[in-house]
Amino acid sequence: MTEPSLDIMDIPATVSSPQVRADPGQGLICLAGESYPENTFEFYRPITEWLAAFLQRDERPLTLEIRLTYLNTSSVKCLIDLLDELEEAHHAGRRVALNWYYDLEDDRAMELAEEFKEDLTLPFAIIPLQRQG
Amino acid sequence: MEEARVIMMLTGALAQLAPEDALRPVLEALLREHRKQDAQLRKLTRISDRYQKQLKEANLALAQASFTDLLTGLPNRRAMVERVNGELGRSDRNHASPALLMVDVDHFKQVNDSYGHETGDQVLQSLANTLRSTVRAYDTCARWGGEEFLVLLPETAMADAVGVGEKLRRAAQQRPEGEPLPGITLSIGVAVHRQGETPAAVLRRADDAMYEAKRQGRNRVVAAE
Repeated sequence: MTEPSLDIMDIPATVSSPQVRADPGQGLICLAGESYPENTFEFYRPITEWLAAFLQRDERPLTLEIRLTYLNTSSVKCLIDLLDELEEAHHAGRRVALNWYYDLEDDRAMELAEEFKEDLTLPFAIIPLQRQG
Repeated sequence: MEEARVIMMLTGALAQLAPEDALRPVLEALLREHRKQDAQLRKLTRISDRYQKQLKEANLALAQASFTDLLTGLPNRRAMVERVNGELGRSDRNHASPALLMVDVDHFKQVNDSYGHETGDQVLQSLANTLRSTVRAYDTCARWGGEEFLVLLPETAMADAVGVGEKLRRAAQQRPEGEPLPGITLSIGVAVHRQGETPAAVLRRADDAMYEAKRQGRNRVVAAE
């Protein structure tokens, strides 16, 4: 591992795009909020690149944390790409995991998480969250 | 299923290649990529379908909520305006005049003041049930305002409409057994739609008749002129 370690990525949320935090030290990528940006593929490109770079340069485990409450179809496509990337890493023997958080009272959000999980074999936890306040 | 056909062709081509053919790894890589794309597309479509279904359900729930009175579960004023307009249009086309009953609870303010708003709400809920179960299946009861209800009777002559009004008035007076709510009476104004009359005009006549019932001492049904 001679390459320099990856930078922390920290993109604040907007009305239509999620907050993105990627921390190589923690081995964690976190997406939180709603995802329907104007140019979805542009938005997700750096995330996909960061993930690929981490898997290439780093040996440590990686967790993808999803706290998305709404996704447009392009975002669904980008997320499926990210999941496929993780699934491949999993098959290659890497320690990768996915934690998908959803609002405990939102059955629909859980149904969606189940759809994303289907066909995947990597550790994929669907975790209900108590509503705040 | 374009993708499925490509996968079939590649599989067929691979089966014909000799094991040591130099093209084999290329075709195998292509086949893998196509299988992956195929799986992705299926997944994307499935998730998209689910989103659409959820959106449809949410829209339906929203539409239902926007046409329903929260307290009584009856159609609200918005829903009733649409229904009345539709029925009056039918009336003009088919000469089948509907009747409108404006129903108002007598001295409702006293119920609220003496027993509290919670009891007032329960009285309205109970009355809504009484109205709903007393009218015919094809009639509509709606919460029109605070303690005001509007009943729409399709294709009904004045004598029959007054009959329904009397039935409602008596039913409201007889509380269901064991129900510990204060007794109420109703003042009801009845108007039958005239050909070409606007919704506002016929509603005004029903309203006026209801106020006439109040003037005559309440707890009665008055037919509009």
